[in-house]
Amino acid sequence: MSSLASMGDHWNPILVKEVRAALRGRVFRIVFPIVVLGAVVVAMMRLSSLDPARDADVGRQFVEPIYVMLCITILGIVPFSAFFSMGGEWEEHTFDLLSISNLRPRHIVFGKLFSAGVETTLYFSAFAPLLVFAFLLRGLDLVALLSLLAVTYVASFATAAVALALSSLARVRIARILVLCVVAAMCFGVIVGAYAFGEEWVFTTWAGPRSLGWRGTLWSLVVLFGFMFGATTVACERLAHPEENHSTGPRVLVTALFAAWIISMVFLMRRPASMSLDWIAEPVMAGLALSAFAHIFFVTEREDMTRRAAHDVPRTKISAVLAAPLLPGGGRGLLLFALHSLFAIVVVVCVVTSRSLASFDEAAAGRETLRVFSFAAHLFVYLGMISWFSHKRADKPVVRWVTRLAIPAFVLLAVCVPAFSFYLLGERSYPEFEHSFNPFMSLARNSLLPSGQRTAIMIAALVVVLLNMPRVVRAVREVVRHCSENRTRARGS
Amino acid sequence: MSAALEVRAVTKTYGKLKAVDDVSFSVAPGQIVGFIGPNGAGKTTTMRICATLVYPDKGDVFIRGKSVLEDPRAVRRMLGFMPDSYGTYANTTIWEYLDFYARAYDLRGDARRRRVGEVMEFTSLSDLQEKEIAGLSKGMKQRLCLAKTLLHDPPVMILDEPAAGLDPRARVELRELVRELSGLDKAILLSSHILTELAEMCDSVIVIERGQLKADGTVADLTKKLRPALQVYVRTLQGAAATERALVELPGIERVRLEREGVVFEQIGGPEELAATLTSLVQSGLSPVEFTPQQLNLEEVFLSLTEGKLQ
Repeated sequence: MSSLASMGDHWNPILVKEVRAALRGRVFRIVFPIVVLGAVVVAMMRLSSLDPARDADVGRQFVEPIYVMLCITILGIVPFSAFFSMGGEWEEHTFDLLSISNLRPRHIVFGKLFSAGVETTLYFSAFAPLLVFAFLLRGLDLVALLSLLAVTYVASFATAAVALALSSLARVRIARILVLCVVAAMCFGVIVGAYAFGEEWVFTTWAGPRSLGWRGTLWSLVVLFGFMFGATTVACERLAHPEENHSTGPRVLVTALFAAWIISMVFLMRRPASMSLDWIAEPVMAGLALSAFAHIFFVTEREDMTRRAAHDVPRTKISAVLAAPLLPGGGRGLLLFALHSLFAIVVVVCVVTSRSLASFDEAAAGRETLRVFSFAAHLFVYLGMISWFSHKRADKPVVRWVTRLAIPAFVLLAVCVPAFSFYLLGERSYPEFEHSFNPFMSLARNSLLPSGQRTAIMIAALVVVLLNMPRVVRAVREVVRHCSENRTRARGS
Repeated sequence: MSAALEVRAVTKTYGKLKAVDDVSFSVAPGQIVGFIGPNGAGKTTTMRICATLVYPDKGDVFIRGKSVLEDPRAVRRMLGFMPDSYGTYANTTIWEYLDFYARAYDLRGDARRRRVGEVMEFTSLSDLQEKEIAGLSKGMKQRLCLAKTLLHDPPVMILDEPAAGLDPRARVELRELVRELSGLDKAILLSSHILTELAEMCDSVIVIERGQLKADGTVADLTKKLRPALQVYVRTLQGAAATERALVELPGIERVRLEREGVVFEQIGGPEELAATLTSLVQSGLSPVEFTPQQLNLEEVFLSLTEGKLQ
């Protein structure tokens, strides 16, 4: 008993508080019995309307509405309560008191996430007897059902994590109302998606895990855990003090994921001896595109570091310069993207020039390298050019957000406007989006931009490099300056 | 005595607004310092900087030698902050609320339970521990927040408007609690608009306006600075005019003016000169019924030091 009590001492304080409050709260005490009662009523109705002609799959007929109700509960109600729980910290003015306690943002986020998990488990336990009954009715593959429930359980965590992240983005009431609509849309989408999974795995095909296989279950779990991980990272960063370093964590995470993606994809794609070289460049470019998406946020950060972030700059010059791309600031963000691109190109060069590949030929190796290079140049141009226009005013949040929206909008315009313009002029290839402004052209297999267009994008990349050079140099110099200040301060103290 | 809380040349700007402009002061252990200023003067910003909720653009704050910029987590462990608007959680009892924050301050096991009991005892909340917070009065919530602030036994306490919205009895009780805390050697910085309360409670005051420090010292010191001469009100049976005539003849008397039914004058010198003036008045045939040296109160000090301009 005493060991149980001492274990309870180490539980997340937020989890303890949330569970205590939820169990005493009106919402849970009303919603839980309604859900249980609703599930029983639905089960009774379903039992009375079972198709006797389909005797063999009566379990599957019965489980379908039960599963839908479970989804509505754990993928609808739980994320909403997580959303309101986080929003309540600002609404009720309790966030300041949490901030000055020993709790770190990750304690707050995971406390709320785990309390959503406790809620999910309670709802699951309420549905468990009905699910067991469905299994006993025959016609259900246990493995398929358990796989589906496991994925749904993790989906509830992931949805709650995204709801927490969205809630942390909007501290003002009006913004929270708008974000609430996004959460509602997300929940609806996830519920529909979960039902589709159920239909695929359990309700109709009777293929069980064989239809999508273990790989399908595993991939679903990986994607959901990825969402959960990303969303909790966003929420933790948003909860950190505005003047703390918000950027290094996500930069390290993005860099690690990018490197892991590129290396694992290249490794996987090389395995079949007959694999074409195209299959190496494409995952690398997909990784670059995802990295560029994250860099929309990094390159639009305010250029100079806050005083608090500056205190964390390493004290040795070499470490500081090496860490510079991972430190906050738009210029340093652009440097990080350049390094990501360089890494991707180097990996592709190493792989395509490796003579162990079955399909090696020099022309293809050169073509694949050029494809990745021109794709990276495209992304660099869009990130570098738009952020360069606004970088001097990036200390204003409005400017940062406008720039963040402008980058994808500009890519979209750059893809569409030339296509429509040249369509009007009667040019054949442009209306099919085959033009040098379209970065996704390089993604199309076996296609390489004509050399003229390639030259144009390389010149554009060079111009963007030259424009941003002073910005990046300033960014690195700032790191060196803070490094020397921190060293002096440390010696002084 | 080394300062428990030291604010060193702190500046904080929001856009074009300089909320705090090069403010420096310190609070010693066991000292209660009142922080006063008009609305929008920069009090709350300064207090939030001290509490690590806002970081200064320039300057630094040290709590027992630890900088808010370099080691905010260490500062938080030594600091109890009670903000002007603080929230409480719904569906939570007093005990659960305090237990939650005790856990949040890493108090474990028996130590946590004992500490929660102690602060409930100190703030007289023990009998209400199972009561839900939603049902508490404003005064009780204020006590609860003070109890929460004391959980980790911080040597420095910052209380932003702790008496706001309290009835007179609750204010007196709060005052007693603050005095007891000062007796426990805690450095206390508190802001309030109820200046009579502060004058009774505080060892010294800091006056701030438009982000700038206007004055810093004990009420007596500030009064002396503002009004070096002692002001005295005198009323005699012979009437104000006769008293005024007698006073202007006496040495060391300045600025004699009629007020109500008597006369107000300024006495140069100390108590001996004042006694001599009274003796002279009696010897000149006047019969004083009232002879009262007038001290400036904190309200008058505040009004003299501030212009009431908003930023």
